[in-house]
Amino acid sequence: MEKTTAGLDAFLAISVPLTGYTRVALLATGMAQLYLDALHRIIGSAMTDEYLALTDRILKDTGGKEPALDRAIRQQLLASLQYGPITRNIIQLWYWGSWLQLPPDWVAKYGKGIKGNDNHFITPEAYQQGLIWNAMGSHPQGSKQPGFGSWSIAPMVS
Amino acid sequence: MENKEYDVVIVGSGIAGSIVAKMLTQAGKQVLLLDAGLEAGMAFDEEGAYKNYQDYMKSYFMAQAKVPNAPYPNVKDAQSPNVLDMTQINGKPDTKGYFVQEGKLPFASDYARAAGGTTLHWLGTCLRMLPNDFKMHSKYGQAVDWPIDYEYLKPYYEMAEREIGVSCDVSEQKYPNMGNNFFGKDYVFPMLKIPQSYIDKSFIEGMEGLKVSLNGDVYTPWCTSTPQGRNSTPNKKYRYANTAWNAAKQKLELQPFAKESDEYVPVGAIWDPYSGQRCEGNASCVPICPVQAKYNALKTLKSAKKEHLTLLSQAVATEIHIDTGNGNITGVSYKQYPHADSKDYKSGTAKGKIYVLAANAIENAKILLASGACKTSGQVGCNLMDHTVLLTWGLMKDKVFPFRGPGSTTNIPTFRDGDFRKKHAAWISPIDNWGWGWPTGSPDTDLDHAVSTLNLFGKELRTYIGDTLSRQLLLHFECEQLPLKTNRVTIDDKYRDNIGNYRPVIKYDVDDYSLKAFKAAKSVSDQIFAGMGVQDFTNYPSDEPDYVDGFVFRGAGHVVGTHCMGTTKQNSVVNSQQQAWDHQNLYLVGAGNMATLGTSNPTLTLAALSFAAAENILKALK
Repeated sequence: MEKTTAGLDAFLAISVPLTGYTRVALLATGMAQLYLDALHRIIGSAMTDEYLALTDRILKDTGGKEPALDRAIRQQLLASLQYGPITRNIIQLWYWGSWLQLPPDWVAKYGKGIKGNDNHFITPEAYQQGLIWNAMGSHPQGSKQPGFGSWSIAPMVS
Repeated sequence: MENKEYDVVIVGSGIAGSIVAKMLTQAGKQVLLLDAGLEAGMAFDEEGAYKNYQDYMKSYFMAQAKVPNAPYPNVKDAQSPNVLDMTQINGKPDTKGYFVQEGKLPFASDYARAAGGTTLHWLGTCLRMLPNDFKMHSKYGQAVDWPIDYEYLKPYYEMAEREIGVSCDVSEQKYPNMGNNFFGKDYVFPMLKIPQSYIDKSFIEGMEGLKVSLNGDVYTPWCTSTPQGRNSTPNKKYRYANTAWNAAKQKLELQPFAKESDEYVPVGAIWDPYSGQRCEGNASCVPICPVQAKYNALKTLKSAKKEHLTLLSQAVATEIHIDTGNGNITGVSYKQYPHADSKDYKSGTAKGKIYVLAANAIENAKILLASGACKTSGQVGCNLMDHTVLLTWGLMKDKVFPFRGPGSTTNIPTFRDGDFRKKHAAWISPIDNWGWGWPTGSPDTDLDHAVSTLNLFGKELRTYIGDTLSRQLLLHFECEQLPLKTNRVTIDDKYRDNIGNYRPVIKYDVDDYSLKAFKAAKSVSDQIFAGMGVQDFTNYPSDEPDYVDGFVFRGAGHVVGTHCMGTTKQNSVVNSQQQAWDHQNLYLVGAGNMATLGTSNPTLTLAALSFAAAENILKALK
């Protein structure tokens, strides 16, 4: 697959407020490039670039500061009929590793002919790098095993 | 192959077939073992075994629904049932999965047709049956008594516990009506108990002092650490090296260690003895333990005596042939497919002095029915049983951090036996360590809810997950099911698989004995939740596959019955020796022999029975 590194900084920059994890934590998953590639592959490069231009603008306009950033993300991304489903998918990619099928209405209006829009884990590693496990004080089932007896004490939650 | 006559032909490489194969080959007998699964699953060389297992792991990681059979190949030539195929049956047979489900309710359990059988995805719980479980008729006026009792099975339980490598603290095991000598004097398990979870500790503390009413009687429920077939710290007091055939005494016996300094060594992965020496807390036992710290039958099969064992994989047994004169079995026909999903196959017949069907209760019944075997009793395929699992779930007051450790490390055994069994089913209540995963599909369903419905993102989302998912509690009420003639496996010419073999046609329902138990169990759950301040989220939607009378139950994966053991050739398929009443050189092994179910997960009992069967076969081969 063609690497699309151009938007990587922008993708990471908006992923920080979307996930609640730091840029370093996101980079440490090793998944950033793969998720960006997935966007290009599924919704196409034109829409991906458009989306990242918008998120870049949001970050610049708000200076990345709350509460303006929160309001802008809600109003311009989550409330948008076009960008809301993409934004929620990006959040779920980071948390769970799986692409979620965009609904038929969305496809009919914004994504005629898109390919690969089915529920799927991006790679086996994507499942193992899901942030949800860390958020609940656990680890991905079947991976990153914490060791014998670890389950009998409270975890260290970062 | 065609010309060779083996001492014994075994069908199936699950725990039953593997135990019999190991015991017979170690006693010097020539064994041919047929397995329906893929050749790759049968690899015992380091590289082959490792590569195949990594393929399983990859399938597991990529599977959207991580159900019990998710990691394992579903080969069209030897299909496995899948819980994702179970749906409500509306008037006409449901044929979309491997099972043909005729109803009223779908049979909701699966098994794996792959080398190692269903132990690939079992949880590993290793409870013994209780003495009263063997005498349900004389004690409670329900179902039947077994032709054997707990005392008979006890030495074989010890062999099974060694073979599986059970971790358990014997002093903590307290069950209702267990008697004074349930475990022998000074008995210990091979390994110390698996540490109980953080959830367990919180739960045990929360339930302390709670009294519960059931049918007008008051109980003080208690918790017990659960014996498990997964590696823990070896117990220095354990003194048995292995199980071996004593030809002089005509018995299988546990053999003491040769030297005082010897001690039990956990059995690691089949590709590397140093992998899986301890449970590492992967929290994915069902469907797959990444390091094989959890027992699977490949470990037993690997330790069979190679020089005496011939393995034939991708070979699906279809029929056994009967000498019409004396009733003896003269061969097993099989179809061997060259590659997965092939329409072609090569036919063959395997010959031995003795034949053993160990293909899972439903597959055994299918083979017997296809062969017109064991007809006298009319019971083949009947008495299909499972633990019907009522789940209840809620949020604990404090964080308990689920989704960690083995699936369950503690259970409430209080309602495993009692006079109430005259009226309704007994049950065991494992405390689940994996949150609401089973009933609601958590954690990803909760994530989707938080993102799509609660409109959370960023730090708020992270905090929400940290505050709610970490408080999830799930209780099981695994209710015994009585053997009913009407719950049965049949075959029908209309329903064949990719290579023309029969698919199981299943008729299944639950009776009043189970329904009353659901009601009683839910009441006990309500009292526990109220007593502990658990916020109840349990709900039983009417569109769930096994919705009945306001309850939803699930299959436990405990496929039992279909060729039950009994006292006469009129009332049962096998005798107390696990030998077919109608065919003296045919032995049936596995959970199919169990006359009643009790409240223990059946694998340990079927493993114990398999040691007994191996002993009987060795005696017969004399």
